[in-house]
Amino acid sequence: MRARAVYLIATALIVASWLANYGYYRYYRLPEPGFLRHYIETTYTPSVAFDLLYVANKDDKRKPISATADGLEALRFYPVQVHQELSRQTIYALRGYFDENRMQERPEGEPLRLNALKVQYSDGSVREEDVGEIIAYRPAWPPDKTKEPPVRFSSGRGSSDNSGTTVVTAVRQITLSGVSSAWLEKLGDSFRYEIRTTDTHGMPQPLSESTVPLELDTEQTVSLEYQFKLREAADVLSVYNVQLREHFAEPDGNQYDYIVFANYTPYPTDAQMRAYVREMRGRAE
Amino acid sequence: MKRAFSRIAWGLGLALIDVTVNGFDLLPDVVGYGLLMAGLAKLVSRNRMYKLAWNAAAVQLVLSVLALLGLTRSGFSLTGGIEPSLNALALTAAGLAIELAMLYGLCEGIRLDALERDKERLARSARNRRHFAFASGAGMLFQLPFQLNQSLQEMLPFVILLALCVLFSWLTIVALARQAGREIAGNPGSGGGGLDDGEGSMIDMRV
Repeated sequence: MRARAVYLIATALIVASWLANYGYYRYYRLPEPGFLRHYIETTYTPSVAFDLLYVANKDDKRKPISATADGLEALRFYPVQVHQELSRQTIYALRGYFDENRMQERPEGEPLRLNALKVQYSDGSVREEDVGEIIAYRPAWPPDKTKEPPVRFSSGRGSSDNSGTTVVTAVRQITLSGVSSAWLEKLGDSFRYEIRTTDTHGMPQPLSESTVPLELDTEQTVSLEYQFKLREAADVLSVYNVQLREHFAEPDGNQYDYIVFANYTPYPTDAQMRAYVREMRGRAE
Repeated sequence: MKRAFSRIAWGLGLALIDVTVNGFDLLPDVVGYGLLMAGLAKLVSRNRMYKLAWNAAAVQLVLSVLALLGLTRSGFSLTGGIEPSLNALALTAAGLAIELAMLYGLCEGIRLDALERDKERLARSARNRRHFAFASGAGMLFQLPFQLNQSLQEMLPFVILLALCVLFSWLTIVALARQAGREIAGNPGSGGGGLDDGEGSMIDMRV
C-alpha cells in the first residue's frame, strides 16, 4: 500500500513537472515570428544601408532571405546571419547595403519614408512586412566632389553601452548652428547628446561643454557625444539608426551637414525577451 | 527456463549498449528487444507481470524498428551542444516510461516467481532493483521537461548523474535476470538451478 502511494506521488510529480514546464514553454513562445521595430535613418548612397532584425522561435524553420523597397532599387542584402541565440528564440540579422553598380544618376530628392518592405522568405513565400519606420535621405548621385568639406573626421569611439563620440576638426572658419535627427523627438529622454569643444584651437586641451551656435576657428575641434538610455521593454528590443546631423554654416552662407551615426542594436537578455514575448502575446490577444 | 532468463539478460544488455560507427548502429536495439520478447514469451504464463514486461518490450521493439528505419529518433546527446527539441524530449520520455514499465514487470514477475519458490533473498533483490530502477527512471522523467526551459549545459551534472543511475539500474537488472535464471529455473518448490533440456548452456552471458 505504501509502495503504491509512493508510485502514485512520483507519477503525479512527473505529470506536474511536464504540465508546468510545457505551460511555461508555451507561454514564452512568440505567437508569431516577425521583425523587431526599426527606426532607421539611412542615406541612399553606396554604403551600408541598415540591418533588419527578425525574431523567431528556435524551432521555426522559415527565415527571411532578402527584402526590397520601392524607391530603393539598389538595396541588397547579404545572406541572413544569426544575430543572437536566446534560450527560446533566435534573432536573425539581414544586413542591407546599397549596391553602387545599381545606383542611377539622379538629382537630390525628398526623403523617402517607408513602413513596410517586401520580404522574401526561405520557404519561397513573399510577404509585405511592417518593419517600423525607415527614412531614406536621397542626395544627388553622383555627389558633387568639387568642394572640400569644411570639417574633417578626427576620431571616433563606439561602446557596447550604446554610447559613442565623434570628433571633427574645422578646416576653415565655420559655425556649428545645430544638431538634428528625425528620431530625437521620439527618443526623448532615452537619448542624450552633448557638444564639446576645445577652448583654443590647435592645442590639446580638454574638451568643455558648449552650446550652439558655436563658432569654430581653423583646426578647432568639436566633439559630439551620445548615449542611448532605453529602458521600456518595447524600446529595448527596437533598432535605432540615428543620423545626428551637425549643421555647419560657412561665412559665405554655404551650408554643410556632417553626419554622426548613432546606432542602437538590441542584444536582449532572456528576461527582456520574455517581457517582449509577453507584450507580443498581449497584442495578439 | 534458464534459457529464457539468459535471453532476457542478453536482450537487456544489447538494448542497453549502443555501439555506432559513422552513425550505423552495430548492435541495434531491435535485436535486444527481440531477445527480451523471446525470453519473456516463455514466462508470460507464470504471472501477469511478465506479460506486462512482454507488452512493453513489444512496444519498444516497434519503436526501435521505426528508429532503425529513421522514422523516429528518441534520445539526445548530452555533449553535442544542441538543445533537445520538444519532440525529442517527448519521445525520450515516452521511451523511458515504456522501459520503466518493462523493468517493473520483469522485476515484479521475478519477485512473484521467487516468492512462489520461497526464494526470499531473490524476491528482496528483485524488489530493491525495481525500486532503484523506478527511482532513477522517475527522476529522469521528472527532470526531462525542465530542459524545455533551462539550458542543457546548466543541468548537465544533474542529468549525467541521473543517466548513470538509470544505466546502473539496468545493469543490476541484467544481473538479477542471471540470478533468477540460476535460482528459479525449474518447477516451483524444486529449489531451482536446473536447466531446461540443457538449453541454458547454449546462450550465456559473462558479466
